[in-house]
Amino acid sequence: MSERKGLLSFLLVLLSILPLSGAAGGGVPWKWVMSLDKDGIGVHIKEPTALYYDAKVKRYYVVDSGNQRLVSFDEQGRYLNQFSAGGQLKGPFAMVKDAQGNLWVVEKKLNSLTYIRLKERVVERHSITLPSGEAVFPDRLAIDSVGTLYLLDRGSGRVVALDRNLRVVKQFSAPGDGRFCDFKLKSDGLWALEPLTRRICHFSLGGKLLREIHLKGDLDFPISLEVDSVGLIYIADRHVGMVKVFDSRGNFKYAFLEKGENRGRIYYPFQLLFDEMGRLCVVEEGNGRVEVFQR
Amino acid sequence: MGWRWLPLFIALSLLPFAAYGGTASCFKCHKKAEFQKAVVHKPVKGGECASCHSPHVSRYSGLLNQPVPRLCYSCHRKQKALFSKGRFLHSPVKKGECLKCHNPHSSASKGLLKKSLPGQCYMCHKGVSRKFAHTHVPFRKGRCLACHDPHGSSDYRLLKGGDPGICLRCHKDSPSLKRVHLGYSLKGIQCLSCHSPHGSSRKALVRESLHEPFAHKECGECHDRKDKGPGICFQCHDEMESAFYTNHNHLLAGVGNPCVSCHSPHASDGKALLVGKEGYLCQRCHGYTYERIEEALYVHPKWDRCTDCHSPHGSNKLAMLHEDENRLCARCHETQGKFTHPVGEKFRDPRNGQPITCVTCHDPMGTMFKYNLKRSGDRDLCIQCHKSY
Repeated sequence: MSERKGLLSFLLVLLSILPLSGAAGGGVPWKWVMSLDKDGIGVHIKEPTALYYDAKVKRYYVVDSGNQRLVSFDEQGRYLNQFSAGGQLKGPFAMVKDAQGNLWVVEKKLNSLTYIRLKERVVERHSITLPSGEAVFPDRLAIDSVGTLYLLDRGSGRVVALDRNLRVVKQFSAPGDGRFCDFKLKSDGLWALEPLTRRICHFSLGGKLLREIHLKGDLDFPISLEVDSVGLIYIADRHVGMVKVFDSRGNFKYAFLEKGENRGRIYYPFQLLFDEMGRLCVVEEGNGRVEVFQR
Repeated sequence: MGWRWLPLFIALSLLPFAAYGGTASCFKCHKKAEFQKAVVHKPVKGGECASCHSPHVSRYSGLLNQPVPRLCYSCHRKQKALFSKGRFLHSPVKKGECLKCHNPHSSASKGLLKKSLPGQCYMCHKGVSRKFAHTHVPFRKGRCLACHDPHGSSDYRLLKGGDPGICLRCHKDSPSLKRVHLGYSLKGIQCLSCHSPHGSSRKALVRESLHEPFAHKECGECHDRKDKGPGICFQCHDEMESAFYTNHNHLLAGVGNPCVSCHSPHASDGKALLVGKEGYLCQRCHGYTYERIEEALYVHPKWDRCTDCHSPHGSNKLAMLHEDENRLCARCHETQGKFTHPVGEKFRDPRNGQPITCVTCHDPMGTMFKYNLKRSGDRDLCIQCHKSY
């Protein structure tokens, strides 16, 4: 009897440890849910560069750069619609929607931050300049709850905040003249990735640098970042086809995914994004799709 | 018998080896003169041939007890620790080829080098041995090691210090130095971006190709401008601006004006005014890629000529390639795609629905499989798509 009790308690201890060991190492807590990969007639997305999630209507918008269009999907990954502004989009790279449901699109080919008023079918292209008069090279884009646009300027490597007249009102720059390659807006401020020195800079939305986090561990080619609700930092490592996770001090926690073309593998990831449900979306330029993972 | 005889047995069995340590028997065959040059390796001096060699049989060439470099590092522990820290290692050090430069017995040259300097260096660095109208003094005297660390360094040129620190050790930062630079502050400058450390046809060792405003002493063209970004360069090189209107571009490179992280605004040795050799320039930021290539068994020929395939400014294509993979590869591999596996828009990879390209099966940067295949061509690669193969 006592032997049985001992065996049972040993099994209980073992079972209680298992989930922990899974999260820490081999068993990664992310499972593939769906792919956003083609339109209604089976035309595959080509060289996607960004994803925007609209929490209001619960839709994903994939920037299908290779096909010069934006493609929308519902929460189950079903294709909904596509938009190319009547064939006017030139090198779409990133997009957001404003409160009126209109689109801001970065058009790389024209170096433009473009506003598209959908109802009026009007496309307005804007060249942005820094206060010094230097041209901004628009790259990643985000919008906050009050409609302020945040734009990554590839030329200066800074994130700039724009007012309604598209004037630069705030600049977020990496200490030591580093250059950001991606950023995310969160409730606690702006998080930006500086790839050359493997740093994360956390700013208040007022522009104050709150802290720098040096990522410790192997990173080959960091290209995009995400931050979850408990402060874990997710980095897309482009050339090795992995997502690497770090704690809020920059210590490496675990890595998942591997390079490849099959479902659940990634090839040349370009952007990470958490949707409203906390699902991690990986924009894969190489495989022409967005892979969505759930915890 | 018992255990009391054991020490005697061990001592007797070691006797023959002790005899070899004495070397007298070695020199019956091996010419003694080869071991008696000006600089003698410590074990040779002590007659300890057996500390490196096994006199009867060995798995390693030269009847060595261990392979090189393990054998060398068994004594030279400090060096081993030091080399493991060096970001850039001299190629023989990286490959563990100590004997490429050093004679393990004796040598006429310091450091047991096989040849005296600079001859030793020129054995491999053949192009460096040139005559210039104006020559840097250490170079003229063949004192390569005045500036270079022959094992490794934190600098890709294996310099003993950073630029300008290494230069300022001799060329002291003085008012006269500032004067010849037209009074501009020398803070944070990089001497080697304009001056050749070996020699030049120009005075003051200024490199051969000059940026036009610099050649005409029109410093204000660039320096008097308000903006400090790439716009300075685009005011003349406007044709380059659109190269950066691309999904992937090198505007991200470096600090300040990104153009000058690759191009010298003053002088360089080539028409493109690069601040270093192409392969090395790319390595500064893409070090991991280089490490991966060096570990691969099969790599693309001339892989360090990066811009043959990659656009150095910007591109919308994956990996900043000049154009679609198929067309790019066909620039050299003319017959590929015509009689081999079908490629192109009509033929789709069942795994991701993307067009089949050369890069579907090959990784031109290097792999562990023949023909730079991503997986084994015997079967593993094919069954990725042809499940019933």
